[in-house]
Amino acid sequence: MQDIRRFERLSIEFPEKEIFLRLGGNCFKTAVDEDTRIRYNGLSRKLFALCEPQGRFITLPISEIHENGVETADGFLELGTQFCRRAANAAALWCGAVTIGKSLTDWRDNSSSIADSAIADAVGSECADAAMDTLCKISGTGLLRTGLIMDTRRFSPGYGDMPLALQQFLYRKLEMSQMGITLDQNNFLLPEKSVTAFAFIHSTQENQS
Amino acid sequence: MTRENFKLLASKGLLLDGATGTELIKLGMPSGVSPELWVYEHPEAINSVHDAYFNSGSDIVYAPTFGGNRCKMAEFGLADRMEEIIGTLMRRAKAHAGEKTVFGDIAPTGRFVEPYGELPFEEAVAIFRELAAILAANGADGFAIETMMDIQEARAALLGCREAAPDLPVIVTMTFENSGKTLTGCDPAASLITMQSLGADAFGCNCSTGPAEMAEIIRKMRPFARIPLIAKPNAGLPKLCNGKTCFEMSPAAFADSVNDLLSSGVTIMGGCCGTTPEHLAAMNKKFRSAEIPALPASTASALSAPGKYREISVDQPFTVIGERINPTGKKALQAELREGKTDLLFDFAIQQLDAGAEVLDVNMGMSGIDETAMMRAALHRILKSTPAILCIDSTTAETVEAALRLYPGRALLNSISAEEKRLKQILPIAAKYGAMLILLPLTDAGLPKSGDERWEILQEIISEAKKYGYRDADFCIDALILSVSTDPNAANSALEFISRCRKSKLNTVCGLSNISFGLPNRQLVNRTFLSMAMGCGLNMAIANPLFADIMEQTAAGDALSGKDRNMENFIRRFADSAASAPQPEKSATPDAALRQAVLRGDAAGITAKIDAVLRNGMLPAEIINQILIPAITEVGDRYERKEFFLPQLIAGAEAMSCGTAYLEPMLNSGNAVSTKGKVIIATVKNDIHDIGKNIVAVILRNYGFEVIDLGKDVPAETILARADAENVKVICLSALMTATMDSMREVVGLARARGLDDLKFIIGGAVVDQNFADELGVAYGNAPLDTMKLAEKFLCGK
Repeated sequence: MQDIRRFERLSIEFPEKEIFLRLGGNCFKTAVDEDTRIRYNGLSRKLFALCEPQGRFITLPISEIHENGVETADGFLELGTQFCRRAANAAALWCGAVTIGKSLTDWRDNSSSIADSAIADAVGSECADAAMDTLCKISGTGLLRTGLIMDTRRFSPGYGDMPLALQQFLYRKLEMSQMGITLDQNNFLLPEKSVTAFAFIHSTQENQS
Repeated sequence: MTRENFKLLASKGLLLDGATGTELIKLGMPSGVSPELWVYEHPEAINSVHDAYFNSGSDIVYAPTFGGNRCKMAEFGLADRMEEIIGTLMRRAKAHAGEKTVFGDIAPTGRFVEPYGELPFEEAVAIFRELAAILAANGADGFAIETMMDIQEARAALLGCREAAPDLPVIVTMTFENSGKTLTGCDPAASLITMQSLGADAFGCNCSTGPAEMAEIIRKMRPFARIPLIAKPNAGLPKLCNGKTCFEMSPAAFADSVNDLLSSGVTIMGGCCGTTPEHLAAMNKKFRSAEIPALPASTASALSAPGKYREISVDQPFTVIGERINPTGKKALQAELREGKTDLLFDFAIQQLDAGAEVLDVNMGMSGIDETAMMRAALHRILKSTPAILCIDSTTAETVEAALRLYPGRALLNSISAEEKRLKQILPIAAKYGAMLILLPLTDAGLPKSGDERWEILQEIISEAKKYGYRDADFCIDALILSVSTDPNAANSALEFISRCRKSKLNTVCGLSNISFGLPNRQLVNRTFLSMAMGCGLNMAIANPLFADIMEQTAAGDALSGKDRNMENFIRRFADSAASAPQPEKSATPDAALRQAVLRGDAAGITAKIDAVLRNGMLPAEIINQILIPAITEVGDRYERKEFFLPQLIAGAEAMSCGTAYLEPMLNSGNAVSTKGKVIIATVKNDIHDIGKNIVAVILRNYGFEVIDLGKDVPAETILARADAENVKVICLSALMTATMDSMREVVGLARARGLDDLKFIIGGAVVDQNFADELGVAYGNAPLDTMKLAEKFLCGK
């Protein structure tokens, strides 16, 4: 249960609608002229081609649940009270990480057009989210058949009251350096479009028996 | 069981089993272990599960080999015991079942297959072939490939089964989410088209949804189905109740869905997660007393890619096959391909798809390169990032096989002729992978001399193809267009042939530009011929979709011929561009054209438009104040009304920047455009995200502010020192991370500590909100234009 599951290449669908919405588009109101549409679509697709989504996850059995954290074999993990409200009788803690690699953010940072950079940034963010969705779904589908279910809500360090310092734990536990990711002194992940998350895993055993 | 026997049984209706994993858990299997190893060590458990399902009415149960492939076994360190464990499980299950039917269960490897993942396709096929061979050798009556979420892995599994045991039936189910697609974006109808053409004996869905949602997914498949349809739904959707998972659907409620599933076209059903022998028994009761629908026998034919399909028929809208990915006559593309690069062909793919091509022809035939390797590279590049349906264009058997094997859908093959090599070598390959065919009515002796001879050759090819199971609907007949410059009767002959095919309801296709070869004004000839040919029944063309008139003509032709129902496509195509979006005004005055340049974000063309306005006598300052500023204001207003999205707002601002930069040197001191004041902008210390900050800076500049951009990761001290040095009174701070919100607090706190109470702060960024701004006692800029308006308020009193 404690082995890292690695995906050197995650398959994601082009998150076209999500990118459009992230860029302030409205499906009913936004009118894009033909030149802009072709340019925007073409650029988005090219930028999507620069994404190299990979990910990995691990599940850690929980021995005790507290108001703001859980006990695992690695000791107490402070996860924040907001996340722990979803713990209930969780059997395990799911820890995952994805990155879309460096090519897209390099392109964005070297672009001379801010409009193009904004599109690149949106493509990167949505692709990283889509990669995490895929990773969670793969885990969830596999777990369901072994009598476990993964909570559909995931939390990331740095959001809400979940400490950003948890990145250090995840970085070490998931051996994220092997993904080409570095962690700086402020607990930021590089390449920038890299995402980590926690979710609770619950048992189905009780209600099935 | 033979495939024919299976089809016969399926026509009477078949009941599969229900969930196995949760039943094993009830019998004591702990979480987190290898189910295959646990069942191997506890054979009585699976025997009782199978007994329960057979007693509930199941016609077929699955052997406990779900995670039996080498990849999954390796996750538990059992790869080297795979044959022993899986072979034993299959053998025991079959021995226990006796005369009853047990299918070997085959599920995903847990890895993604090329071109979408890192697992090479041939390796994936080999993994499934190995598993299928073990299952077949130990008595499997057939194979159930299940819970697939990626069409390419499903294809690999089906090919593996076929190659290991060609005569055993293979049923395939994929897992579609409530969104109606699989997690990787596979469309239900497209998946059916792909797997059916590849030779699946039945296809459908399992897991993820309850029966009602699954019936809707099956209904999307049915119009194209020629094989039995399967549904193995969950007992409703899983819910978390007090920290435990519940499937709330009772056996009776589950059984109530039988009629809905039957009406959707399902003739093979069972259960997945949360279902029990009780659910299956209830289902069985309803199922056996219901009328089983006839097996689907669709006459439609379609091409597919993972996320979409294209029905090809004389009654369907015209299909343009983009011709650009072909090195013939394209020196730049040839040079790239010689270097093994695919950038240009990828650009061609995107351009053609954006222009409206439904299918892309891919031809890698040129001297000096390995055609097969390049075809694979081209497919990788295109498929990884576009939704394209492809037409494989090659005369080399090896290249055709490599491409059709890798292509994750049902491809069109260009082409099969009566030439011996194509009939004897390429046709069997095309049939193995189920490709649709472009048929070229010519022989080794060359082109036919008359229309009748052309027709006879065509019948010969069709007759040969039908031996492999092809139907008329699977053919697209090449009208063999020759240039009218060399044969004045070429157009008439082709039109006559198209009409003849149309009478037989055969699809027709042509290489459109051939007609005008050697003539001046080729586009005029091409589009005129296209109209004439569409009138005779032509329903496909290999053409350059970047010529807008070709695409517009096919849209109009579909509308006029009634193939575009309610003219929806036509109206969408032309109404959108005419009514809503800013269009170039063909007879616009120079100042209107300049305004449009800002609205359209045309930075490259704005200086020429300014020159035109200047020639009309307008002064530079007047241009800025009377045209550019009102135009960028309109851009901002449209953005706020959501009529524009962010790239349009920024592109408008960038065009405006180019315009003002061009005009600035022309302004004399008396006419200089006054600024609204200075603003400092920075991403705070420890934060390296600056895209939002850059956007705000552009907007502020274009609304007349002098912006001092300090960049990202800027210490508080630096910000305040610069404000002091430049006498700046408004500071905009950006942060993306929760952790760096503290750096904002530090800047504001330092300013307050120094008594700099006249400094105004505006903060923004993904994690910042009004509450945090209130806590700091500063203003909150929720969006670029909010920040601009706040700066105006602080500096101009507006």
